[in-house]
Amino acid sequence: MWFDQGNELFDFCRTSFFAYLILALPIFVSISPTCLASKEFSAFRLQQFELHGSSYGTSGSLLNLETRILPGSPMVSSPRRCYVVRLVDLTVNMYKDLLTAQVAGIVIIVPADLSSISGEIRDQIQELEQAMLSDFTTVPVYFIQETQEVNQVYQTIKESAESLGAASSALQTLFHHVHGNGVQLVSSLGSPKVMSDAQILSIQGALIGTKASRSFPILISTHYDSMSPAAELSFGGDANGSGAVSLLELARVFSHLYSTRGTGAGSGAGGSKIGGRPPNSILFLMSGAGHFNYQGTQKYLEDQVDSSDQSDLQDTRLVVCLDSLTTNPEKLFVHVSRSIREGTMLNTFINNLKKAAAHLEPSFTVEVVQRKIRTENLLSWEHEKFHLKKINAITISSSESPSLVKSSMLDVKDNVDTENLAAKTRIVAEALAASLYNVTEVGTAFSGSLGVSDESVNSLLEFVTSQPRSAQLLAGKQNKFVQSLRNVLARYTHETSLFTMKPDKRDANLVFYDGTSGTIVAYDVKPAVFDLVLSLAIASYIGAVYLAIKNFSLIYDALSYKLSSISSNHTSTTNGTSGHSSKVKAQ
Amino acid sequence: MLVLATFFPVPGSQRDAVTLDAFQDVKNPLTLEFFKASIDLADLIGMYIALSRIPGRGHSKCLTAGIGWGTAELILSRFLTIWVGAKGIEFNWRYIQMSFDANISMVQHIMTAALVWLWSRHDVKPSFYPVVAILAIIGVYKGLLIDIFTLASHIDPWTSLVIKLLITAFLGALTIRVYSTVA
Repeated sequence: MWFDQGNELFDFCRTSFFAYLILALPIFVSISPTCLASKEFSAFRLQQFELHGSSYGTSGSLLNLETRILPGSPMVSSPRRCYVVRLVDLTVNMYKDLLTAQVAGIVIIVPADLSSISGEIRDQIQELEQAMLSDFTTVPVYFIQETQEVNQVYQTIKESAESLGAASSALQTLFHHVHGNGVQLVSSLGSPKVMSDAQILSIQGALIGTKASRSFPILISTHYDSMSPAAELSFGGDANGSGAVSLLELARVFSHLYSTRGTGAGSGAGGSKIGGRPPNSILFLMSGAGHFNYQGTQKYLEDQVDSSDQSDLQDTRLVVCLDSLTTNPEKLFVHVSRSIREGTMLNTFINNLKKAAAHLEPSFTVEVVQRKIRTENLLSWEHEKFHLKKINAITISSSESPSLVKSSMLDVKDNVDTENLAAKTRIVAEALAASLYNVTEVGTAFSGSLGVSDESVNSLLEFVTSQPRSAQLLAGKQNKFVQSLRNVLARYTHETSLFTMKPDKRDANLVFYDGTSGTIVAYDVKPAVFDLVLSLAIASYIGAVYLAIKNFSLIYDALSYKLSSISSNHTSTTNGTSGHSSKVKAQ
Repeated sequence: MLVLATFFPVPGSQRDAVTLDAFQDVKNPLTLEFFKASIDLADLIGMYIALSRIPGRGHSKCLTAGIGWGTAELILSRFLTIWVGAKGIEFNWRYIQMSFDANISMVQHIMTAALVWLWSRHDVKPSFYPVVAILAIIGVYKGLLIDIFTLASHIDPWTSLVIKLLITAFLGALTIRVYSTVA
């Protein structure tokens, strides 16, 4: 009885072996690890942030797709296609088309040398970047920097796209499908999360004047952050590296004036009438998140003006904001929000600025641009934030309108002309000095090593543009860059303080998302048709082997025939041979 | 039987490791490879022991030992690589080649088993003994020779595979001829 049961069990095992195989194979397949990547690139995701409740950038991060290439391949609204395109080839219309087609992903190859791009392509890229930052999409958009390996992958995709695109007959297409190579891109980034502990840091440095009470201080303000579609690629040379550098240089120059005690020592003064420590204090403000509607400035103002105990700023007569000073080499625009009355310090300063420009760099023009504030939610210049708090403020910039350059990854250090920046800083410094001492002779206040120097501007610029300064990246608690920025400012000023803005949890004006960079892995893959053909080939091979084993006696006989005929002459074992071959056949 | 055969390559591979240590000072990698291949001669003895323990008639002995040995070798050497590698997203011809190679070496193993079995027989004509021995030794060093040839003349893996197939088929045919005299 036991034996019977055993037999039954054995039979069951034998008959259901294939069932087990079907059960076990997927398990085997799923637990086996995936192979290592052939090519890995670091990739930067398009920015994602919320400003005043509306979202910008992209929320997508998932990428696990076969690729197509643009331009060249037709745009198919498919959830399985990812498009790879060079930044120089991509136009705004193409980008918009891709988004409306709801493609599964866009990977943009950023050229290695950004500073060499010029002319129309530059404009086109800047236009595209604006489109990217003003839109919101769920399509994942990635930037990868051009390297040899990236180019290889691009070539592979291009070749397969070309072979597919031109193929006329169905058979040809099929052949290309079988023969060609595809590339599958897989990104390592998880879904982006809100950076809950993000904070925006603003640094204030003060040079304290001789007056006992710090009345009528002058504020020089700029934002130090930069912006571009890819957080890690925003070095922001002009916007607003130039402003930050100019501010630091001004602090350095004026620190000489403020280091002298009493009046008349004149150590920092080349001009006859200018000397000694000025009565007015100068405040330097480097605010964060300037590209996000001047959130850092906003917070600073709330802390300084709205609080009753610190009333320094309410007495200020002059706020000068510096922004993008090298966009136009020979122009300086003074942006104001309302007409300037005669006799105010602001008016004097602007006049001084014009005089200084005429004295130092006659080719430079200084123009006043008046522009009403349109909406509070999207200010175009930093001074408008001050203006909203009823503080007289101007922005000095070299661009006439809030320009396209402001948030571009083309804006690298090489974009900034150091000498030009130094010259403009010199103009501002002279105008400021003349306004401080209230003299009519403008343009002779600083000389020699005490003045604005090209070397100092250059080294400051190098420091500021040494790393991407996107607001997300600087949002950490103890950010090294902000710390060192504060240290630099502390070297030139009497006291520095840090203003921290933490976004409100419930009603945040500004929300950052993490996952700005990750790696994209490129796999060489074969199309699905290839798998089918390969399976058929393997099946036919196995069939052939099966037939060969099944009919092994034929092979055996063919091979042993001669020998057996020879040996039959001697030992007559023909019988045995044929017997064996039949046994092989049975097996 | 399968289990019995499975255990034999294990000491073989251990001896491989020992040889690696012992011949660390051998500068010429070719010599080292030669010694490593020579270790495979021990497999012949292992195969002989395996054959002597398998009951049954000649052809079943040979088939069992050969297939068992081949399976064991496959599991120990190629199985993991193919399993892990071929699962990857990237397609690579290497694994297809490896599978073909496994098929060829299966033929080789059955052949070796048959040769060892022939050697143990007493009714083989004395004139065939050298042929059997030479075939067995060629079988051992065949892999090494083909590898050297492939490396030296820079031929692609497919051609090398075809060469391997042809040589193995030729050796197999010779083996069948000798085998058919006694079976």
